[in-house]
Amino acid sequence: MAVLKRIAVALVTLFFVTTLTFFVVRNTPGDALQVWALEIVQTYGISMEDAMKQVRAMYGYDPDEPVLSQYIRYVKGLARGNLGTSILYKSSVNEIVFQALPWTVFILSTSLVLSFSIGALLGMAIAWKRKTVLDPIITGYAAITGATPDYITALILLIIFAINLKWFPLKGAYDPAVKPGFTWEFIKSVLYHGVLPIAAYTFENTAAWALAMKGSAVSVLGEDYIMAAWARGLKERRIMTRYMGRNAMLPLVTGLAIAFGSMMGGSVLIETIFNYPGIGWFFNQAVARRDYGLMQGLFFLTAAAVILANLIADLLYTRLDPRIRLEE
Amino acid sequence: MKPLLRVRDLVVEFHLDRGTLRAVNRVSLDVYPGEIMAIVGESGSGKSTLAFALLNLVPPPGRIVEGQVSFNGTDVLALRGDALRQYRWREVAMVFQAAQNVLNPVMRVVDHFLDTARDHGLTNEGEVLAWAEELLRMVRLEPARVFSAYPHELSGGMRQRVVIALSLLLKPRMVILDEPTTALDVVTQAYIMDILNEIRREMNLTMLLLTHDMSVVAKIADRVGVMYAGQVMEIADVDSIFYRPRHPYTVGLIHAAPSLLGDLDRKQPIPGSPPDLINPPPGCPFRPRCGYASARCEEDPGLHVIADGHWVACHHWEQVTHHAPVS
Repeated sequence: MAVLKRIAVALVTLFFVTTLTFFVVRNTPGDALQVWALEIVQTYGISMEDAMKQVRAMYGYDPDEPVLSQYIRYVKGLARGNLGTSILYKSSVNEIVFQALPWTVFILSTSLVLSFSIGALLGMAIAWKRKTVLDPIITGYAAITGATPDYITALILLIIFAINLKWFPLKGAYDPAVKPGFTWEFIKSVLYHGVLPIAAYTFENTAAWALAMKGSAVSVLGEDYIMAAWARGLKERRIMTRYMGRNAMLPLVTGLAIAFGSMMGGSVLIETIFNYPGIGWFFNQAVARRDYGLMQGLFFLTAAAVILANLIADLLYTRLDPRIRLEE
Repeated sequence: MKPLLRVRDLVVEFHLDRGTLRAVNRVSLDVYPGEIMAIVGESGSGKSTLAFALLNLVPPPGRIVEGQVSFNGTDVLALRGDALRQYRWREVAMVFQAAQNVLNPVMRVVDHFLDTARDHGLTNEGEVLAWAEELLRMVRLEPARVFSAYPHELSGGMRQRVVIALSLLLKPRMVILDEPTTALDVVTQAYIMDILNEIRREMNLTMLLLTHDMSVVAKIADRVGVMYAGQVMEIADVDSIFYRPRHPYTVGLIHAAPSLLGDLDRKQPIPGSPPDLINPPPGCPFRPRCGYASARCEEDPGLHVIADGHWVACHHWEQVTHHAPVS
């Protein structure tokens, strides 16, 4: 029952977000259709009027149609899993997402797993051994990465390792000369192209996870059950992992799940800087070239992912912490 | 008889910003095999710190500055690493205050038993579980129900009984009980004291009971040590403590406890409050609140023998009578 209630709340939230983005996007001046029609006029030499008709039919959008009926049609489309149409790429948003999402998921989940596990271990270590040199180093590192925007980190990495040292490629997700497929050569190329974006993202986020973990772990260390574990003569390693670690991890789980959700929107700036064809890169294109259809579709995708991640975090939390049960 | 636990001149200090706090000040005491020794004192008298020091487990910023703790001939304060780990719980186990969260909230009860056994080299899980079940039954809990429960799913009294069962898992020679029934309701308190008495008889266990509750002491203890401001004021067998107390503070404690039959008005609190343990004045710490205090009390009286097994730290012990006014 409680789970169903959570799911219902998530769906209602998603509905509101969808509605809001629809009206916001529709109320921005939209001459992308005319740009598109003009292109058709030039290519096929038909009249502007015919071109507009054709474009409206393809895009499924009639400016004279009342906004409400457009909205209903859009929601109906969503319900059937249709995210809309991109004017810029003249294809469905679904297709673009299908192409771009795997790259974004690859880059961001790899760096999230890396930054979270490294950060959590570092945080636990500095909480455990209070007075080590590691503590001020991590804190300083966190202050620096916290103050630099991610695109600066990305640019620095790009300039040093791709432009000056030429160790890594400048753009793309893989070498176009390699045929995509489940071959070692292709996988190697993908990993090689992924190194810099993953490094930029991991470098940016590790310290934040470390500090969050340290704060949580220090408060857990003050708990009676830690003292009792020492009194029971348990091994240090067990106290550190099962007693401190497990309890200190709990408050971070929500943050981790939400980070997984919001990564669906991609990292606009990092993907743009590395010319990496993920969701973030397409987002940038859509905004720069006023592709409202694509924008709307990607907004919906991001919102849905964040809401879903939140829901999963809620459900996961009840599994990890036996004291929390979803109230009826 | 040789004492099982021998403590001499133990000093534990906490280094705080405000200064150095002496939580345990030159404490000496002996605990003999098979007896229940009670340490009585108000909160803040240093009982809990003493308990942790006996396990060589004083949390920072606390530090054992000097003194000796020997258990069954072993110098406890010299133990390090695995030897210290093995001493804890296998030789001396501890039951913490009932209000504390002694059990890991994300672990089932059974895993606490298994964890403890495993880290002390008991690898036969079946045997460990069978013994744990027996212990749980001894504290009148249903093993099947309790094993799979998380700590928060048990009541305070049940949790405390789990902790008692857990303390007996490695068949320790001595169990330290730190306010084992405080924060529990009166009925549960009595129930748990009964269980402890029974266990002690069955397992021939030595117990060190830390409490502020004179009625608990009267019911269960063989010998009593009275602590005040980190120091031992008086040590004697339980009858001497209640019928022939020789320290004014002990007399005060007895009179401060409500008696079951007497008038509630007859309860006399000790006037004043315990001294600041940071930079305490020299001499007897009870001096400012004591009706017998004289100029001599500015000198530390030290704990000395006045009769067989009766120790007192007071210059005026000969004048102290049971019904003496405290101030």
